[in-house]
Amino acid sequence: MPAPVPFTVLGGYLGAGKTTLLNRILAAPGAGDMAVMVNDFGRLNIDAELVAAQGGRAVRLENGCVCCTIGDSLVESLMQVMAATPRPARILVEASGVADPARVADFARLSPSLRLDRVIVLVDLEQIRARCADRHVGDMALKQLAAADVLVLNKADLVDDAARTETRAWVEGRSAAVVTFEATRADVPLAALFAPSERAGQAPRDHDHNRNHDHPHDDFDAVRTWSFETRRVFDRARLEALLDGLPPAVLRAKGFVDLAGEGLMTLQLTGRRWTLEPAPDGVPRGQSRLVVLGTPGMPADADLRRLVTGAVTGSPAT
Amino acid sequence: MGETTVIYPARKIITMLAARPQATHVAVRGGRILGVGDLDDLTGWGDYEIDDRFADKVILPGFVEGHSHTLEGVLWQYTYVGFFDRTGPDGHHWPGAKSIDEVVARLREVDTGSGPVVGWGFDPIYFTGRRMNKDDLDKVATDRSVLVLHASGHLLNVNSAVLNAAGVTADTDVHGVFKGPDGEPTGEMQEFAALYMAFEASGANIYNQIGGESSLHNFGRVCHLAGVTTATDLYARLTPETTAALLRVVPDPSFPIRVVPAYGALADTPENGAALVKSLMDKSSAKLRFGLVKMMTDGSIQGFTARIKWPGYYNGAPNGLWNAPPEELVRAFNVFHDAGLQVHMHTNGNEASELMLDTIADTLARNPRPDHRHTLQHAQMMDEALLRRAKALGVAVNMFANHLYYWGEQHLALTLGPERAHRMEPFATAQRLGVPYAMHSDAPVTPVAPLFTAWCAVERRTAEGRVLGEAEKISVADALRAITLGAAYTLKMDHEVGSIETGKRADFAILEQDPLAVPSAELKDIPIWGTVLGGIVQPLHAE
Ligand SMILES: [Zn+2]
Repeated sequence: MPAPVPFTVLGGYLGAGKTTLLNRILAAPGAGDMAVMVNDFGRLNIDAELVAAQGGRAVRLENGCVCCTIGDSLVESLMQVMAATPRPARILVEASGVADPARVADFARLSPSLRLDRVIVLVDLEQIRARCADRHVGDMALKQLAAADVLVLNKADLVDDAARTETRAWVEGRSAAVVTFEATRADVPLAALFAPSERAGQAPRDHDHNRNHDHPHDDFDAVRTWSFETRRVFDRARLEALLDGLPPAVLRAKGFVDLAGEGLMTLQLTGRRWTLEPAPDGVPRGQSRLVVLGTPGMPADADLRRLVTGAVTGSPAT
Repeated sequence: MGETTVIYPARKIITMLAARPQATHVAVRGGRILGVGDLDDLTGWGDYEIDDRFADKVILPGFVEGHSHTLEGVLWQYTYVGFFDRTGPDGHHWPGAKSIDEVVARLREVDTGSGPVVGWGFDPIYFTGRRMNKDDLDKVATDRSVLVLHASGHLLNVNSAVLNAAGVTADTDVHGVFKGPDGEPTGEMQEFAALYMAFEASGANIYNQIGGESSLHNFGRVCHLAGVTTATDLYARLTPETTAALLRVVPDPSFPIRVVPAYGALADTPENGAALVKSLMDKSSAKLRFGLVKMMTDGSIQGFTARIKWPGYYNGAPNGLWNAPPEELVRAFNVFHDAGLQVHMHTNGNEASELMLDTIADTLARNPRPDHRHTLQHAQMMDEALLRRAKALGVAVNMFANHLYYWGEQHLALTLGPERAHRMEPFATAQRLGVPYAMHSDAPVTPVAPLFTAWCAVERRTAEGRVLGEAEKISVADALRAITLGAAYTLKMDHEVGSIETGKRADFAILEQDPLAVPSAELKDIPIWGTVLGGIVQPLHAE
């Protein structure tokens, strides 16, 4: 049987910063072939193109369902995702703002083909107390705190120290989370998010509950990343020279580059090999985006920026 | 005009037309009703043929099922094991399975010896004694998966093969996995995580059939058998694939019903949804009508997932779930309303009904729209104050009459308690306050059978025969109106279907007995001869 797919649940009420964190996770190169299952009912909340650029897949979840019960869109969508070849390297489910993340986590607690990673719950430090007292959603906001393995107390910049300390104590008193981060714009160390849940609920089986266990998908630690965007075009000859000359510490590069006179190309670099092919329709033109992954020994960000801008011409993108 | 006129004499025609409630003849030309009355009223239109095959039948407007789902057509690909009798799309009558042994026997009977065995509609709430467990289903098969889905939509049973494949053991400590006194999982479980595990372990997949052609054909047949000529699919995905299937299947003259799909609004942004529905409206035709939007707000009362107001569930269960954050529901409603669309809102619990009435009130104050006909669906717990607000806001309600029968005893004992259970589905109050109302089956949750649904509203009997809410009973005539013109009103089709009058589509339900003459307790048992759809005669059995 293939190794179980790590399964991460991202919960929290509207406005707590789930979308921000999601996009942060997606921008991190360790994301790789991640199936990201999101609710788009309120607003489009992830950049599907970014997911694709990372080699992942975006899946739209739907909360309502035909039987007037709740949640079977996740059953259906997950069946589709897991039936795909190859299976995704990781699954991230964005629970709706009124979902109990614990019930979503149960999917991985029960299915032998999934491995439950930590349940991440975002909290709006400014709003959480009022939210938990709300007559329509207070009960669910409290369930979300209870379900967290990792609490991200977000929008820390919006509250003063006293309020932050007090709210943190209040929230932690209602949660069994093993890790708490205070954050601004959901800026948290991603590696801490992607670890097996301490509350997987299954007898040790194919899962290893040891938090320090090296899992092949837990590559957020070991990999350094750097990303780059520009609205100017690249010169092909200089870009090729750059790609050929990258040090071995650069493991992978992916993205879209606008080549002078040729248009937008998809760049894929693995080890010493790279390809440049016309970007598919639907990828917005007018901008180049590049993500570079490497070992900690890869050139510093500033050096990478200098190298890459050296291949850019002065002309705006087509 | 070259088109033949056919006049059908009948034992009685019940028109739903206030000006002429009853008649003996109806004239049909070009698929529409030329006139209704006695023969003399109709002969003046020129040449005609008399077709007297309905001479000893009773003609009603074709029934309109205002809340059903084509998922009904998917489930019939599996084996029905429910407690109550139910008729399949092939007309086969499945007697209710009244014991665990009967369920096991039926699954053994249908088992082909390969692939997973799947039963649906299992309803053990009236069984006395123990609950079904894995040992029972192991009698069906041990080498393959056996799954039984419960009618409540929240539970399922599996055999040992499924538990073994998923590695579920006494050590599994997960919400929703039931354990016996020995600590071993019993094979009964609840919640969607368990459903996923069971589908994954067994390879069964009911989802890839939804909206497919065969499910539409099954759904059409089930409706036809019940005398229905117009039915909703009240939460339709409307992907390019399912839309193409609808466009291929429904307009075909051999397809027995008109279909009204309501766009299921929780998958995409409301802006995208509104644009999709508007683009599909150009593809509407006489038999296929796009334009409705359906929003889900809460869950179900029997599943304890409906959002209900103080004092909450009778057994102390925590309050239910929203399908989306209330502010997103509010925003979506506004987008659809502003786009000029009609919105149907699933609201089972009174907290959900109230939230949407609040929303409608705010929206209409900002952007009034006469005759919007936004409709609360299920609306099972509306009290007088909520109904008065519905009336004031021009909101229609389509109530879930069948619940009185199927879950009435549970509502009394567990979910709502006596006071609120007796005034569920308040038809008489809606009637008295002048709130436009309809009634429905929510198939596949309960069977499509409008005469049964009408019977529920008239008799208000639970499955154990107890009357729930004497004061909320309505007359047979009012109930018949609700399953025809009342439902048509909620679909904005009351100018086309729902009554027998000049100019409307010639859609009839042909009955063997007069529903106004039989004792009201027998309303549900009146045999259906067949239907007429747009003038095409559709008998249930070869003539
Ligand atoms: Zn429904």
